Amino acid sequence: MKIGIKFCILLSLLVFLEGCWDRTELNDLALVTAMSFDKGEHNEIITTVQIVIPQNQGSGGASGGVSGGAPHKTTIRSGTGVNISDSLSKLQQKTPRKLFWGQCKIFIFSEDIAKAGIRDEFDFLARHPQPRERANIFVSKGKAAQALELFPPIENSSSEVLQKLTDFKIGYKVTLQELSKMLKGEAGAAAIPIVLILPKAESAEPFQTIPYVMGTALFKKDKMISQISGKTTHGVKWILNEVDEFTVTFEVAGNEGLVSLKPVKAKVKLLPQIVDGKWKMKIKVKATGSLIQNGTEMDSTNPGLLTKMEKAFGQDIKLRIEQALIEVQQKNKTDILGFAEAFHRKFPQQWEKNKERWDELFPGVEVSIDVAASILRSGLINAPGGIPEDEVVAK
Amino acid sequence: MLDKGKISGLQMAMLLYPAIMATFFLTLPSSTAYYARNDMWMAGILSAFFGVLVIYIATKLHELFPGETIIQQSEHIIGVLPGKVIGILFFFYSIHVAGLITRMYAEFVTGQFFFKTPLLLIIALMVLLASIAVRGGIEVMARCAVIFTPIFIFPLLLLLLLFPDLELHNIFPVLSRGILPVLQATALPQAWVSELFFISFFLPSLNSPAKGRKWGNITLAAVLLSIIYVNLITLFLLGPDAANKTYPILVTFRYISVNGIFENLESLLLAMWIFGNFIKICVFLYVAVVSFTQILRLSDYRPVVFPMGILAIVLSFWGIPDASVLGEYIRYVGPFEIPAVMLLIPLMLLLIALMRRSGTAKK
Repeated sequence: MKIGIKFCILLSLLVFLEGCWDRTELNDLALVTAMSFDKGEHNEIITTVQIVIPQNQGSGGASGGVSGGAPHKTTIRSGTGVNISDSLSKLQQKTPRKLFWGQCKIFIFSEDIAKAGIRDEFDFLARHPQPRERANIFVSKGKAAQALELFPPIENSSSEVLQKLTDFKIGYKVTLQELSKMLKGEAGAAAIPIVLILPKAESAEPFQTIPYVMGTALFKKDKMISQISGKTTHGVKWILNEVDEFTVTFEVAGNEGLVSLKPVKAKVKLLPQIVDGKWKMKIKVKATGSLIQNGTEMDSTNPGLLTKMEKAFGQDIKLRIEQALIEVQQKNKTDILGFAEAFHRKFPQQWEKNKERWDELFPGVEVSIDVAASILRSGLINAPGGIPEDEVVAK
Repeated sequence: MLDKGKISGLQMAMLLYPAIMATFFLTLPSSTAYYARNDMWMAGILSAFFGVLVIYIATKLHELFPGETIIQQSEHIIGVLPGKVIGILFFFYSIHVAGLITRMYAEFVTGQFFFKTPLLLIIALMVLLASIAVRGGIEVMARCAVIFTPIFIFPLLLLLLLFPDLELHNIFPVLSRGILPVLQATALPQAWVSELFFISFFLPSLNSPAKGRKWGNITLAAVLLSIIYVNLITLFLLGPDAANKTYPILVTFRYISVNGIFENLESLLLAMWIFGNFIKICVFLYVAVVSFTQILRLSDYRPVVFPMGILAIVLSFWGIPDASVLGEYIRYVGPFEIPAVMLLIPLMLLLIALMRRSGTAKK
């Protein structure tokens, strides 16, 4: 009798332990790889998702026998609603599979949404359990959905392209969590990288190109106020101490030709000072690089000439930072440079008193730049390549 | 003691560590950051005082009345009837908190992972498991703890993988707004640390009761280190954003990514959460059951376990209509209720006991 009861209990486990009653199989899911938000005609939100087409994944060229090239690996679908949640529910009505966000690591806002303010949309992204905090955020020029509609020639999807491009750390990069921090932070400013669409190669099919990242959108509170170019973005990255594997090309005074260094690494420190009520910021840069191209006639193995090059290198860094400061601090008056946090950390009392006026104070902060630049290695050749020995300037 | 089982000091520590840390550490950083902002990590240090105090009270009482729990001790100290009132208070408190933590556990699990599973099912399954373990006696619980507590602790170490994303300078400026916000932030950790008074229910089962204080203090140290560690990681990762997250630790686990391969670790958090809460619910249910049987002087505690479980399920719904009421309770009621039961009442009992003892000694 007792054994009978135990047996029955064990049997019932068979039913429950499999968890089959509410299984969700892969072919019931629509794997979302990226999501974009556009503004509709009557101020609605159009949410577009990029969905993986599982049949075409990994089939490569072998089965793509149909003229028209390889089968498309992703498709897009849009839903329109009064806010994101509403538009997503509309979107689900048009999608026979359940939207699955686990792999969604790209969110793109269109420029007009960014200009109107992303507070509402951001709340959804931060509150909903599905969007991942490490997802990358972008702002697109023009329609955001366009970036998702593309079919990259090499990568599986345009979202993968964006993901890999940001991994190179060349441009500015912002995750959902970092954006959240910026919007909550002391400075009341944020920056989000801008996505553009690469003009397609002439021989390529329609839509066969990639989105790429160039430039940065500047936000005051949650509204985009302007944008800066890719070059200025690099300067900003110098100030933010995010220099990694940069290529730096510069002229050496009194010489023709250009010198290029890569990889350039740097340590940047922000040293805030308040002298007689005047707010000052000292940017201390320590940069190193390796020579990869020497278009001048100078012999880089000569210590004297190398010092000359190093001087020019430092001058160039200073110039980049100054240009970025003019754009960001003087023209746009948006503190995406971390100045507010630096002052807050060093001078908490003064900061508490003055934080309401930070918007007026920030453009007036006097910045001095102190660069120590050195060139560590000169590559595989000594004297400049491609010219006879006697034309090389050795001293 | 009704339960003849004996446990070691280490086993007691392993029972108590999750009994404090589970449920609590998920919301801890946001509630401390709410007051203390970037000084949140100090909150844990200050609550050490309360921990040392409750452990001292519990072990001192056990020295005076060896082999007894607080329920029996209070009858001896202030007489049968008032003692029973305090016993009933302890019983109500522990069964009420058992319901509360079951609900917290279930809210997190349904809110973040099992969106469709009914709340009642998650609660009932967990309470059923805990009841079976409690019915098995203290040795069974202790052995569960020896296996599960390391599983509960290990994932916390994975937070170190976040190192490249941590901004250590978030810790500055230190104490820029004075010590007051830090004291306010201490309200919550001190309340939870006071729960260490539950060693009163385990001391009679220790195989060497003399080591009770030592192991209590070891548990306290482990808890404090974990609190500081978790707070620091959250501060370094989230900075000013920490106060605004419901579950900052969930965010930190989701943020872990090593080369884009080793990521999406929140399921690990869910696993450790279930293990930790299993132990925690066991401990609270055990305390409720022991209090109940000792108040009524029953000869066996086993028949009471399942009815207590049902009571815990009911209490996890009563008076908690939604998550914001739960949060309100944790933020405003808990910091006063828990120390009142776990610190003030035992402290008074101890003082009365010491005074009476010195009174009889003089005679």
